[in-house]
Amino acid sequence: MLPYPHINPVGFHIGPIPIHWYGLLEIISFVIGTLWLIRRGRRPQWDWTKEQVLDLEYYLSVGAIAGGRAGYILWYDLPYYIGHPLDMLKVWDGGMSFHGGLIGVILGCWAYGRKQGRSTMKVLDFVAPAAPIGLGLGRLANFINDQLFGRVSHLPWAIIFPAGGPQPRQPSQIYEFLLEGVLLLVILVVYGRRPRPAGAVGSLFVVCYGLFRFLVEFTREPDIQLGFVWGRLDMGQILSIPMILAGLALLYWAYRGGFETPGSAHPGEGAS
Amino acid sequence: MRPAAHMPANAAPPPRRMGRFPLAIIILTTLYGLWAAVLSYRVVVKQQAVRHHLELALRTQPRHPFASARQARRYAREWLRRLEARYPQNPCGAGPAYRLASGRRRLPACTVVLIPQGHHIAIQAYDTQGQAMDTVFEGLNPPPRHL
Repeated sequence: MLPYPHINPVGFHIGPIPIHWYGLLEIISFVIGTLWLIRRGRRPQWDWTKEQVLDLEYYLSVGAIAGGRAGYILWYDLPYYIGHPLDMLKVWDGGMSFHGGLIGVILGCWAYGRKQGRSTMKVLDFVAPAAPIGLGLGRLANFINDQLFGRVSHLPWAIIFPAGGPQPRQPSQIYEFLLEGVLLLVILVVYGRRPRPAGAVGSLFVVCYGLFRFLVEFTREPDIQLGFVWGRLDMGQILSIPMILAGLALLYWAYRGGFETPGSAHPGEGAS
Repeated sequence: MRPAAHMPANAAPPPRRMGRFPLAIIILTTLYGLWAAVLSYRVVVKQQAVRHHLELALRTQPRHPFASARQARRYAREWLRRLEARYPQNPCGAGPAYRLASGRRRLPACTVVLIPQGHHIAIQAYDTQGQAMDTVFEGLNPPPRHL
């Protein structure tokens, strides 16, 4: 069994304002992701200006927050929010869903693409490799915050999380950091090095995230208000199944050239 | 509001209309999402009831060991009657909300089981899918009074 490191959730103070690791890591991932996208956008095959990247990030941020919150309300605790509708706006109290956030991000890509005359899937291809940075650091923040831990386990690397009671548990946040953060980043960067059909990088992100999340959920403590929802599957797995299937279908469609824009000068655009 | 970005001189041509294939995926995903929301709603309502049943059992669980195993079993039967008087109905369907441990391999969903173990009485709850719940974690996080 490994000891829980007891990292103070508050990283430091700026005057009287406590700066939490969670917020700090989110800001760090946002800055790193933005700088990376600006650098990537300069490549001739992408042709994105710095202003366009910043404009896109605005759309993506709104989409991720609105979608993430809507997804949590709809899929994780709808009876509560029907009884307390004003609490839907209390984003600061926690309660975001990745799957809802992804839908919000895709809608953001669609809205931005419409405005800029770019295809939704090509916008998704451009941003997808940067997403694991935020996802991975978000999971580290979950670990520091002593939340979203795993199920009871007696594996040698199980940890007693203070909020989880006296039993040792799977450090599922670390598994998620390694899979949805590190491994997914490596896969998308390596895959995106060569020119790929339009929509392929974004679709691969959807498939891989869905698969990794589905697997890690077997070690994660289900949300307490839900428990398991379908046999031994929890809501995270229920929502990851269509991601895997739809992602595979979109990948197939991408390789058939279904997302290529007629007359496009760049049939394959790479990530780096 | 952020300033609008400029259109690049060599921007890609406008995207063509969405094909049937992506449209079918969007429709199927939307229907699946709605199904998941309905499923979640139903599960949360039932799970909330099980959690209340479990909370009552945990709150009234005797803390000290009994003088004998027989006394523990007798207390468990009396305790079961008191619990059943408060919550007689299993939220997942027919049957009681509480049971005494039996030799059955599989217990119905949404059931709280009282298990006489020597001089003690343990508790194990089963969720809406009949999966064993983390009783310790539930004890640390009692359910809200109302949904």
